[in-house]
Formats: sequence, structure tokens, C-alpha cells
Amino acid sequence: MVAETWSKQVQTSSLTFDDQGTELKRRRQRALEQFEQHRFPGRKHEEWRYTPLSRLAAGPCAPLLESSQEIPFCPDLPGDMLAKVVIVNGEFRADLSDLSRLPSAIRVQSLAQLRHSDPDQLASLLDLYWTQDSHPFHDLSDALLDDGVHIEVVEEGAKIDAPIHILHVLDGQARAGSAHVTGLIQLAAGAQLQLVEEIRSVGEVLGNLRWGVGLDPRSILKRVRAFRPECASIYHGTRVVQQQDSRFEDLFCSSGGELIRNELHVSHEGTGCHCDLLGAYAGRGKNHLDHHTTIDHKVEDCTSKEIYRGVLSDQARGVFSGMIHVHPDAQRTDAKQSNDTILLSEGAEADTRPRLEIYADDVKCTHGATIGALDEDAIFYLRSRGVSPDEARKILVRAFTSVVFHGLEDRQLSDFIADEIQQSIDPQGTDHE
Amino acid sequence: MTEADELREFADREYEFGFVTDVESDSLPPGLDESTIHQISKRKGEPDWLLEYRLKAFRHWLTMEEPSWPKVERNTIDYQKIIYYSAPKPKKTLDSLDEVDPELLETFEKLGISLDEQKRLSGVAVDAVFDSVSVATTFSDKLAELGIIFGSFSEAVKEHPDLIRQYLGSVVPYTDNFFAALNAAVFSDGSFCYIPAGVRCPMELSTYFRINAAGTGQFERTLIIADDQSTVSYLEGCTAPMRDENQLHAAVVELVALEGATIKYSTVQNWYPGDADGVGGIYNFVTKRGLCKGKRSKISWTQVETGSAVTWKYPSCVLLGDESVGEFYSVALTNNMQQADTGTKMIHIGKSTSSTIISKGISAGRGQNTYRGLVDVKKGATDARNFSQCDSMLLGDRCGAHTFPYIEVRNPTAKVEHEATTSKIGEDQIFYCNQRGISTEDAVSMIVNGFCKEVFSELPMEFAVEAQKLLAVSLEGSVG
Amino acid sequence: MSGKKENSMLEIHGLCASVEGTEILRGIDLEVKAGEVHAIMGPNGSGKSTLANVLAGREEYLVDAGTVQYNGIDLLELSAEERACEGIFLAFQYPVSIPGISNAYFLRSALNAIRRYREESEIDAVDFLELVRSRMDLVGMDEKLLHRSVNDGFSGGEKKRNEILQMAVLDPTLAILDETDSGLDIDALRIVAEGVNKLRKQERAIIVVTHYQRLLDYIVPDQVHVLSEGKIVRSGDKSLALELEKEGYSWLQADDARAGNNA
Repeated sequence: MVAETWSKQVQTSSLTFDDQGTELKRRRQRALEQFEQHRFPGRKHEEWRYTPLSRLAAGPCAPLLESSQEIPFCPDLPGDMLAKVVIVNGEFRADLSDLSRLPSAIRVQSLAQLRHSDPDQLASLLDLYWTQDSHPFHDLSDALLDDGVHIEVVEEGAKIDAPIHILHVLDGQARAGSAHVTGLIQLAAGAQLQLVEEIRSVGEVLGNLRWGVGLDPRSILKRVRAFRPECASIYHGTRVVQQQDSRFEDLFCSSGGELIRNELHVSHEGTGCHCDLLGAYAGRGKNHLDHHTTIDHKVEDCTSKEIYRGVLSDQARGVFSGMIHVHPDAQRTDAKQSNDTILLSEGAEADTRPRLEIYADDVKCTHGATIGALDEDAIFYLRSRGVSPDEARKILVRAFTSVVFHGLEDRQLSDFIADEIQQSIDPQGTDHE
Repeated sequence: MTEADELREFADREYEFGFVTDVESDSLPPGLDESTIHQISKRKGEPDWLLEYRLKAFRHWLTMEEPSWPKVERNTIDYQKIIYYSAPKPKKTLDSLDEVDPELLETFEKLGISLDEQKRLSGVAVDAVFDSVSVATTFSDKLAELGIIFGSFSEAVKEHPDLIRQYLGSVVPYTDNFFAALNAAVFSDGSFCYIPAGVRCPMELSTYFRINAAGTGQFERTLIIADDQSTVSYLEGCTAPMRDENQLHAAVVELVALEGATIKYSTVQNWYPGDADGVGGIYNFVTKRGLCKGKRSKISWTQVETGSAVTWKYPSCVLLGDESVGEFYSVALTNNMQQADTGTKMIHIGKSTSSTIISKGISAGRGQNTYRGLVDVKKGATDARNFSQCDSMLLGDRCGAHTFPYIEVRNPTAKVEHEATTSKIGEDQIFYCNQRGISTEDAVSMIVNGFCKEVFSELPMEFAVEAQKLLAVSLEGSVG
Repeated sequence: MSGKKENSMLEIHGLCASVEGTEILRGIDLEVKAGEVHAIMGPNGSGKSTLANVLAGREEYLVDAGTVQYNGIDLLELSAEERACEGIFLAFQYPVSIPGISNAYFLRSALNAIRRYREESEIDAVDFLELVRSRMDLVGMDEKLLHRSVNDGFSGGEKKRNEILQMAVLDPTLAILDETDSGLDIDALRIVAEGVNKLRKQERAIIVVTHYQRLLDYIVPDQVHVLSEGKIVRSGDKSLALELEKEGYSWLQADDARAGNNA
């Protein structure tokens, strides 16, 4: 029944778009049909086994196509940002953004702009990252494709030193609903760019965000994602296509969220690529934090490092599903993956599925996973030095998760993230005194 | 000869047990419906309750779909083309081993399994299953003195119906999965074993399975019950002739360990793997599960899987009793076109339960080897512990090695650790051995054996030696 | 003094070898007689280890030209394991580990492979253990190491001692020690060198490949050869090593500048 409502709503909203390009039209139509057919897959579907999409199906769905004039809070990420892009309920807000200091090597425009000016180019860009396979969120994004952001570093070798701050505001105060955002990033050969992406929300909202990232040879993209979604549910998917000797570094941090599904798919298409996928998450209440990563090592001499660490209290549930796929020709791949989870309470749950699929023999692939409680000896040690048990736990959680981001150069930002994680541990939600 | 050639030749050695025994058999025509089940039950002279059980399972099976989630590619199975019952025709009723068809005795001799008690090492009692039925059990009298029941399943149905009724399907219900349901409907024979309270079984108990007749499926059922404070070590071996068709082996093994009991179950699986191009071979779809029912009970699975075209099995432990222990030690080797999707499930329910998983996968030729395992710590399983180590070794660049663990933890006092690695045999290791005079073939076999050591050391001595040899033979021609 | 062929165990003429297309040995001539100890010295990258590996039959090293006669047979025709069975032993610079296989099992497999090749009967576990124990004293090795996996988790010193133990058990005709001194502290170096000295005998030749002179304080060579850029640029007696110790290898470049007077 609820899924029925969804597909009707999506259908109605989708029809309000008047596309110029035939390809774009076709894409929208196909996505509509696919969503209509599959809607939100259930637990029987291997890829969605641990994700309670039924929660979303029952939630608010009407796309929020207009954003409020004001944003309900001030962005408070520290550090010097080169530019600020503000997207409210999926709409690129030039009035709230600040692009004045951007050098000419980089172009930032709204996706709606591209959709109107060059719909065929947009369609072909989308084709690069999102195939026609059915995926509930990608289908929704296509069916409701409206706005977002398009970032290009066009000058070869351009090194953009300071990060661009991308702030998503999900505002469900006026009415509950869903917001759909598509972002595209393209780096020219040898270019370097840093992004800090932040999600904030008020009210009941489903945020459906996806990014397509193309990295030309030798380019480097560093991205930090800080999610503080309060009571929102979020799908955040990134598809990265890396060419020779390029580098992708991603640091994901989330503190809370009704239901968060973080999907990353990195494809190494050229030799000598490297990616770092790092994640730290803290869940409380009934938070569901779900992380799915796939690294496709398609060619020789590529490396990847993946560390995801989670801390769960109350009845929070953390999921990690990480796939390392080494294709037949990808000799000398070196891939490391680990997922560690700390459970702080009786009701918390962790599900881990680290996966290796290997078709080449000269490779080094390892994965490791641990699930357990905080070290009682360490807690006692801190208490014997006069630290309260709650404080001791917070300190140990900070130590546990900081492994993930201690490579972050921006100290201010890494401290900020560490604080966020530490504060989101609910001492009331742990089992101990 | 280059190293690659040598490795290839090494991998291409022939399957040793591919012969066919010429023995007259009593078979049902191929096909499966309720009348088939009536006939199987009638031929075995079964009581009504067992026939009812079979029919219920069959009716349930009809509602089920064949699972498609394992990572294997195979031909579809036509269940109407399989012969569900085939037994060597007895010359007359058997009263002792002397009256077993000499043809059959010879077959088992050839397989290295002597059924002659005089000739055997006294440390192992054997139940020999040929196609669908048990043909001989050794040492059952001696075991009976201790109150140990060891023999064919059909016999146990007649002589110990209460035990069978109590435990049949108690660990693997017929509703469990498609092949378990099929087995419950058509199982023909297998081994039954009961160790009374306080008894340490003085010898290894062993069942040897042989598929002989063409077109048959083998659906045996094994049930082992270890009563309070008892101990038993059980071994299982199997071979089949070389045939172009794929034969289905869908067995069910149920283990029940009561308070303080220990069951050690070892398998050396060497069903016919098919030829180098993947023609023929056994489809080995087996459900094995042990229930650690009592406090401080322990079930340990050790398996060496070198045969079968497709292997798909997950010997599991349900750790119900507090402080119970589950173990899984596995070596799975896939060469040529073989595929294996194997692993275990450790279900932690009781308090202070612990489990260990050591899995060694070796892929050669175009073999595909998948470890799939579940560690499930339920809410009440306070202080559960698990350690898993899954290592893969790839020999050559045309094979695949995959690791798919599932870890689900619902109790904060649990401690679960999982590690996995992938490696190859280093050229430097081979050169080091060569430089000491050891041939490449021996070096490969030595390095692979070293890789599997933690598992082999869990096998009973006699089996460990056999397993090492088997591994060397199965690897032949595989290094590239 | 005598250059008669029948007395030479090893005769290398014009040996050129390359790795992955890079020429490393550029014409080596060397003669080694039974009972002699030859030291091959030279700076990093001069081709010392390559020479050792080529003699042992490592396949990654391609022989481009030249001949190697060993006890009258064409060594280059033989595979690595055949050379080992013919009595050539290489003590590795970086001994390789084989997890899960005990040192004792490995060594017995090697010894039996060699014995089979020589059509001798295989040695059983009891006799083997006795043999190994008698040799372990030679290198002052702890018996515990016998039951550990081959070189797995061994310290640098343990690995090198293990190499010498293997040499003592396999009883080779020609032993090549590739930088056996690298990574050893002075005590370990002395123990290893003393082990080697005890293994010197009339029927055996030893080639010691080393960067530093200090090993030669303990293992005194009959002849010293200096390798540079894939060629032997100087040969002499043990005093040459001392000279190198004093002056380093920089004189080689100086020599080059003098248009290779010594080449």
C-alpha cells in the first residue's frame, strides 16, 4: 500500500518535468518504469538484506520541489573554505552559495542549468556512472532528475588548495517529503581538488543524493563527508571512475541518522590507481547506519585501502558490506579492507559482510573484521587515573574512531569530526553504570 | 620443462577411483512422485510413521524452489531422470561379512577400505554404503558390548525406532532447504550412531560412501547422537566412478551432542570431479548440521574437499548449550573446472559459547573456490567468542578465490574476529626448494600442505596422511 | 698455480647474463678448484648476487653468452634442482619462508631428493634426526628451530644459521654464500663464519659473495675477486680485501677514469 503511494507520487512529480533532450526523456521514462516494477526491494534481495527499506516506504515521499527562502541554521564547519555551495532540498541555491573566489581552472554550475542548456551532454554524463540496472534510489534520482551541482576542474594540472564546501540542507519543517540531488565531478589530468560535503536536516525528510566522479589520469580528489542528519533518512551513493595513476580519498563520518545508506563504487580503469575509503560512524537510538562499498580492481598495479569503524549504542544497528573485486587481468593488486565495530549496549547490533572476489593470482588482498565491546581493562585504567566511567568510554571511542581520520591534514576539521562522533555517544544508551 | 608446464602436468593427473563395479542391482525406474516414495519405504520395510514423514517432506519439497544463490554455474538437474533407489542385489540374506558379494568386498578393497575385520587396523569400525544401501558394518558386535549402536540407518529404524523418531529431523528439519526436503523424502540409507552416556568410543567410526550405478542419486542420511559425557570420532569418505553425466549427492547429516559430549566429524570428500573440461562429476549438495544441545558439549567438523564437480555445503553448529563449542576446519581444493561454495554457520545461542573457523581454499586450473560462512551471535549469547581465519591460495591466473563471510552480532559482550588473506606460491619459494634439490612438483605440494597444516592437524592420523596424498594428487598439473 | 682443467671444479668463461632485458654480467671469467675459498667482492649493483643466482639456476636470470663447466659437465643445461643434486648449494641472501612446513621436514625432503638423484637409499626419520643434531652444534642452533616452519618468523641471525645448517646437512661440493654476513651482528657473524670454517675441506670449494671485508676476517679466502659493472676488474689474494677495506670502492671509478688500466 505504502509503496503504492510512492510510485503514484513519483509518477505525478516526474510528469511535471519538461525535458528538452530525448535521451534525458528516455532515461526518466525508463527509471519510472523500473521503480514502478521493483520499488523498494525486501530482505530477500542480497544487496538489501540488512537495509530495512520498508521503513522508507512507510515514510514521507512527496518530492520537495521547492526550497524555503531561509536555511534553518548556520553552517558551522571550521576551516578555510574556498567556496560554498548550498543545496536546499535538492535545489542549487546561488543566493546562498559563494563562488566568488573560485579560480578560472574550476567551473561550478547548477545541474538544472546544464539540464536546460545541454540536456544531451547531461544524459551522456549520467550514462558514465549509472547504468540501466534497477536500483531504487538511482531510479528515483533519474525519474525525478531536477537539480544538483556540476563541478569541473577544466585546467590540466590545476591544484586547488582550499576545499569547496558543499552543504546540503534537508528541510522538512513546512512539510515532510523527499529531496533528490545529483552531483557530477570531473577532474582534468593532473588536477587536484578537495571537497567537504555536509548534510544537515530539520524535520522528517528523505535525502536521496548521488555523485558521479570522473578522475582523469594523475588527478587527485580528496573528499570529506560529515553527516549530521538528525532525524532524516539518507541514501548517499557515489560512483567513481578512476583513470591511470589517479587517486581518490574519501572520508565518511556520520553521527546518527534514522536510516543512512552510504554506497560507494570505485572502479579502477587505468593502471596505478589508488583509493582510500575511510569511514567512522556512531549510532544511537534506533539509528540504522548502512555502508556498502565495492572496489573494482580492473587493471594491473592498483591499490586500495579501506577502514570503516563504528560505535553503536542504544538499539542502533550498523552494517558494513565491502566488496573487493579483483578482475582477471588485475595482477599485483594490493587491497586491504577492515571493519571494526564496538557495541556499547544490549540492544545494539552489528552486521558485517567483508567480501573478496578474486580472479588473479599475483595479488595481495586481506580483510579483517572485529565486533566487540570496549576494553574493560582500558576503562579501568582510565578510572584509576580519576576519569569517570562515562568519560573513559568517550575517550576510548574517540581513540577507536580517530584511527580512521588521523591522516586528515586539516587538524581543525579532524578535531571537529572527532568531537562530533564523541558527542554522539549517548552515555544513557550504554549498558554500564 | 618450464615451471608452468610442470605445474600444469601436475594438475592433470587422473582420478584414481573412477572404475565401475559390475554388480547386479535392484533399482527403481527413474522419476519421482508419491509412488516412488511408497516403493522406497516398502522395499525397506519401514513403519508407517516414517512413510508419513517422507510424504510430508515430499509434499513440502514440491512447494520449494531450487536455490540459486551459491556462486556456482552448473547444469540444471532433471529430478525426473534420477534413479532414487538402487541397491546391489543380495545373493541371499546377509548374516555375516562372509556372505557379502565378493565383487563388493573387492570394490572396497580397491578403494583401500578393507571390510575384513581381521585385516583392518582394529582402531576403525566401518559402515560401507554402496549406492543407496549399507552393505556391511564392521566391529558392530564389539561396539555393542559398550552399548554403542553403530550401523546402517535402515537397521536402526527397525531396532531403535524410538531414538530415530526422537531425533530424525530434529537438527535439520525437512523444511530447512530444498535438498534437505528432497533427502527427507527419498533417503535410502546411511549410518546411525548412538554413544551412551559416559562412554568414550574406543575406536574411530567410519562410513564409506560409494556411488556405483549410473543415473542414480545418492541420498544418505546420517544421524549421530552422543549422550551425556560421551565422546566419539567419526570419519566419512566417498568416491564415485567416472561418468559423463552429473550425479546428484544430496545427503543430510545430523549430529546431537548432549551435556558434556564431544563429536568430532571428519570428512575426506573425493567424489568424481568430472574431467578437465568439466564434463561429468558429482553435484555434492549436502546439509550437515550439529546441535550442541547440552552444556559444555562440543562439535568439531573437519573436512577435506577435493572431489565433486560442484560442492555446496556448510557443516554448521547450533551452540544451544551454555559453554558449548563449535569448530570448523576446512580444506577445499578446486582444480580444472571444479567449483566449491563451502563454509559453515556458527549460531551462538547459549551463554559463553565459542567457535573457531579455519578455512583454507586452494584454487587451481579454472577452479572457483568460495568460502561462505555465517557467525550469528543471538541476543542472549552473553560472552560469545568467535575467531575466523579464511585463507585462499591461487595457483595460476585462470582460477578464482572468493570469501563471503556474514557476521551478525546482537550482543555487546561478544567478541568476534575475522581475518582473510589471499596468496600465491611465490616463485622465490619454489626456487628455494629447487635449490635444495626438491622438484617443482614436490615443492608445490609441500607448500600447499604447509598452507593447510592447521586443518590437517585436526584429522585423525590415518586420515591426515591420506588427505595430504589426496591433495597432492588433486593438484597435479595445476601450477602455472 | 696449475691451470690444468682436470683440477678445476668450476670454470666460467665469458659469462653474460641479464634480468628483464637489463644486462648485468658482462663477461665473467673465473676458475675455482676443489679445496679453495674464493671471495667475490664489489659495490652494490656490481652483479655479485646475480652471479650467485645464475650459478644456482634461477630462471629469471637469462644467460646471454658464455659457458660454465662444473666438474666437467655443462652446468647451464641443468635445472636448479639438478644443480642442487649435483652438489651446488646456494646460501640465500634472503632465505625464503615456507609457513606450515617444519624445518626438519623440509631438510629431510631435500636430503632425500638429493639421495634419490644419486641413487642412494632414502634416510629414515631416526637417522636423519641424529645427523641433523650432530650438525646443529656446528652452528650453535637451538633444536627448537628444527620444529618451526622453515624460516617463518626467524630472526635475521637464525635464518643465516639455518642456511649454514642446511649446508652442513646437504654436504655440497660447491657452496656459494650470498651475502651471508648481511644483517648479522658481530657475534652472529662469528658463529656463522666458524660454522663455515668447520665445513672447509679438500673436496669442497666455497664462493663467498660479500660487500664487506669483515666476513673475510673470519673466513680467510684463497683468492679475492672484485666485481664492477658485471666484470671482474681485479683478482688477488686476501690482501686485496684489506686494501678494499681501507680505500672503499671509489678507486674503481678512478680506474675507469684511467681508461680501465686494471680491467
